[in-house]
Amino acid sequence: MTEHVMLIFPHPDDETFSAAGTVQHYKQTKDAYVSAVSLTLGEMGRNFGMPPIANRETLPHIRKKELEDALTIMGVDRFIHLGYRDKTLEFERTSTLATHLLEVIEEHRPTTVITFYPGLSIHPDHDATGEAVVEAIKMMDCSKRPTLLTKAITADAEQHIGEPDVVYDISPYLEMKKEAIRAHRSQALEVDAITKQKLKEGATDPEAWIRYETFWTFKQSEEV
Amino acid sequence: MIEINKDQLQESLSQYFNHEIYVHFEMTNGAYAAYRHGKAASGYVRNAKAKMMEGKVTGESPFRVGLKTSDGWLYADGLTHIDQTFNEAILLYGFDDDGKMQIALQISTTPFE
Repeated sequence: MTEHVMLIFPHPDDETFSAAGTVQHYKQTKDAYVSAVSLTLGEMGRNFGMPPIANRETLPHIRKKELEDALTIMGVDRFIHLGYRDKTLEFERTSTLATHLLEVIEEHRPTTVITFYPGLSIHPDHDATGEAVVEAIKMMDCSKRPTLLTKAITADAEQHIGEPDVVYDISPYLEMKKEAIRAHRSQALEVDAITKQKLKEGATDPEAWIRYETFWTFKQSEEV
Repeated sequence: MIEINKDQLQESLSQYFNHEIYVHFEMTNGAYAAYRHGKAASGYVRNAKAKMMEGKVTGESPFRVGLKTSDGWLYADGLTHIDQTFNEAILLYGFDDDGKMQIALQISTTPFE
């Protein structure tokens, strides 16, 4: 069976920061087909660019184009936008989101799904997305469930769930990943903000958070 | 997006006097604030409807805008930039030292998307 990796993330750029190198790894080593699902267009982002290239109303259109450009650079084969609004995911019924995601998963039949680890991903939309993906996969027949790789981003994640069991050093694809990150032009300030935060948390290599893509394989028995 | 010109903004606002307006009002220190530096404090109202009676721009950049409506007030402080390229709407913003938007006041005679 062809390997199909499906990225499910709430905001444009989450997929690039989390998994741009992993996508290339799957494409190069497993000839994988890759789809990317974005729940929102990051409508409520605070970064308009410096100097501003967007406003509150044009931001979603600009970020959609940026996302499409980044996905092209990453080699993603298919883009699916689900049409939710930024910052509102945690207020949707989890079952509504999960049912919607289940439909998407059952239609496209990925063999691996990559998303955020629920509860350890800082932004409420990140946690809500991870939670809904876990719920969606729970609804599937065990034999049909894709492998679920989750990304946790709080500094203390390892204290809660141990070390990540999947670690990709994506050095061979680092330049591609940086190019994909740069495609999110309106969000350029975020790269500095994240790097500053990682150094504050004790990182010695300012690029480590870009170079190492780490995931926790989610077991359905895990309590969220 | 350009820096606010006080007189021009006053002129633009006055064109909305005695008109029904839709308001997008937002203040935020960011979704990551609780994680990166203390506590998050943010909120937004999208497409609140009001009848604008009159209003003023005051201060020297950053500016304050106070709009008297038929039922109350709209107030915003910390506004530095305006984007008038978007339809007929008035889009006003203020940014923090890192260049991140921290306050938005948008008014339009038609609902925002």
